[in-house]
Amino acid sequence: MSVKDYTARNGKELVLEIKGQFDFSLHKPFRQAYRGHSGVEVYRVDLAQAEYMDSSALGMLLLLREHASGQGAKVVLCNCQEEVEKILRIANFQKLFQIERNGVEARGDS
Amino acid sequence: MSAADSPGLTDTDPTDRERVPEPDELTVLVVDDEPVNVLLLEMILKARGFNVAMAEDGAKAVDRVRDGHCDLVLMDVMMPGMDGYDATRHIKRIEAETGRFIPVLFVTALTDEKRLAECVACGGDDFLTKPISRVQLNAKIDSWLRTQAMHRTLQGQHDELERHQQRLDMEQQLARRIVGKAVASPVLETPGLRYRYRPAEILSGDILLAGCTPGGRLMLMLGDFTGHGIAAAIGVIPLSNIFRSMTRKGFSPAEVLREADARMCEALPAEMFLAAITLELDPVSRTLTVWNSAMPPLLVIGRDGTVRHRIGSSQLPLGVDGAHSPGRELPAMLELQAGDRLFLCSDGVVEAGGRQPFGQQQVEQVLTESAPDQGVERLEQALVAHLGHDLPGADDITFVELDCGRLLSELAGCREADGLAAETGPDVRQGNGAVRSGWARRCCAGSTRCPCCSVRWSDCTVRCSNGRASTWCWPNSMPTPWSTGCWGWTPASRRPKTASSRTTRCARAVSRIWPRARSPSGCVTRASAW
Repeated sequence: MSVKDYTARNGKELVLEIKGQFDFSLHKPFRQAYRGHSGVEVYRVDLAQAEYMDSSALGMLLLLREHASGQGAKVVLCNCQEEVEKILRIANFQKLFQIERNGVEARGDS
Repeated sequence: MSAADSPGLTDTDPTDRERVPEPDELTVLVVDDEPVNVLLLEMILKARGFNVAMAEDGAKAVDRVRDGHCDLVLMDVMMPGMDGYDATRHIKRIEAETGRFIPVLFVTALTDEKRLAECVACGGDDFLTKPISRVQLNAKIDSWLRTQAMHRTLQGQHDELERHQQRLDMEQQLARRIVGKAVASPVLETPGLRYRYRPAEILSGDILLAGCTPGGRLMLMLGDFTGHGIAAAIGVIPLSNIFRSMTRKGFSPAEVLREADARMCEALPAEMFLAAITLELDPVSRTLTVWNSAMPPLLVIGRDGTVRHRIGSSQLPLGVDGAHSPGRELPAMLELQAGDRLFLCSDGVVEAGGRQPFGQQQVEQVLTESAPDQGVERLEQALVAHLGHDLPGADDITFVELDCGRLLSELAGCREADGLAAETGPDVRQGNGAVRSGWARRCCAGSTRCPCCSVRWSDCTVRCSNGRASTWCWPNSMPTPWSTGCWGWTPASRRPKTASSRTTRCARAVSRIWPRARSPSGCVTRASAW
């Protein structure tokens, strides 16, 4: 389980790579990873290597959303595995976040 | 509140606890029947500044230890009366009772290995062989005093943790009673409504609320807060207050959801939310209305034991985003058939077992195979068998089964008994000229606008004769009084030719929320009545 963060597009995009179980144990590292960056326009959460996420992970995404909206930035979730995408769909998070599959935006139901 | 039971305060300072005391603060008990040996040991110990106490046999040694005036014992093996082994056994028993660690070091001339091994077997901590070496004796004493200091530290921490734990348990039990009172409802005891509620900890993040409106409708909410424990329980109180008071006043679930959502958006931190299934059963129209906000699907199981409908999540959880409140979204509606059973559960059921989850498929299999009044018991048995231990597992587990026929007749019964039958609306003349017996409800329960097409209810022409025009009404162009006043999933071919533009707008809103592929076509059962 880990969070790796790096910036892209001249610091305008912050990528957060989640590896393994996305659950409460990542609460602190996840918060630390997105804090303290200025001028970010897009927070991209790369879930390619996230095997599972629980409700506290959904909570962390909501915290990131709150943080991003305070800066006028947006949050994009990308490369979700099937299991993770199912969890996001049940929670209907496609109404709150842009969800991209392999770089292509997957249209939500709404 | 005394210092002893307040958290964070201890009787000894932790840094003080870890310190090995100075020799003059310590008393070493020398147990030997030979005055020469005692003299020699006393000399060595006093040279280092220890206080020295003496006992000439085992029984006296035990007494000294019991009096509490000794920190370490130097013990001879062979003595008249009680020997060293027996005395040590007694001392160690006192140690266990008081929780004070008193190292016992045997000082002996024995060389027989079996006898030496016995020194440790009887509870002694170490042994020294005669002739006594001053260096060895001092080294062993120092080493055991360090161990004693460490033991004291551990003991202190253990006591402290235990006090904390007791306090926490007590507070949680109290909070549990408060939550228990907040959610308790006689409606949950209605025959036909059966449930299991198994919190993973003292306090649960799951919540089950039920209530009856003055019009006799049953409202039920099964919710699941993020996490469990105290934080989750705090959210339960405002939610149950809103649910109870609004249900009692006859508000619709949509309004309860909007209010609860708004309150939670205000009060809860961003990462905390509530997934919930909210349903309404109308005993008069025999319709079921469901808002599934991020919960496992609600199952409608027919009389033949097959799953007729799965009403999956189509809304965001509560407390996330006011603009997307589940109460503003279109619910799923269907007309119930005789013998229908409803089943709803928290995700703790589907995910029970962690890496090998119980799974939705197995839930359905157990329920479809069980007799109508056995679903809850069978599922509980299957979950216990899957987990290999009693419920719950790592997460809170709640599941509810509703035997609709039984429940509806109970509800209708209490409705008539309460004299509430008079609150039904006027008869409805249907398109084919037939008169459908009147029933009424508060269209979107008194709200001024339809939740999906935003038409003002004041445009309605059919009104209740009892004078409460604003509460008992439905839009004029709709022959059947849907609780939302919308066309729901009515196929275009079944819509009356006179349908106004607002119907089209509604249909568009519906298809946006339920894409055609996922539209539960079976939900359009009411269409057959037109």
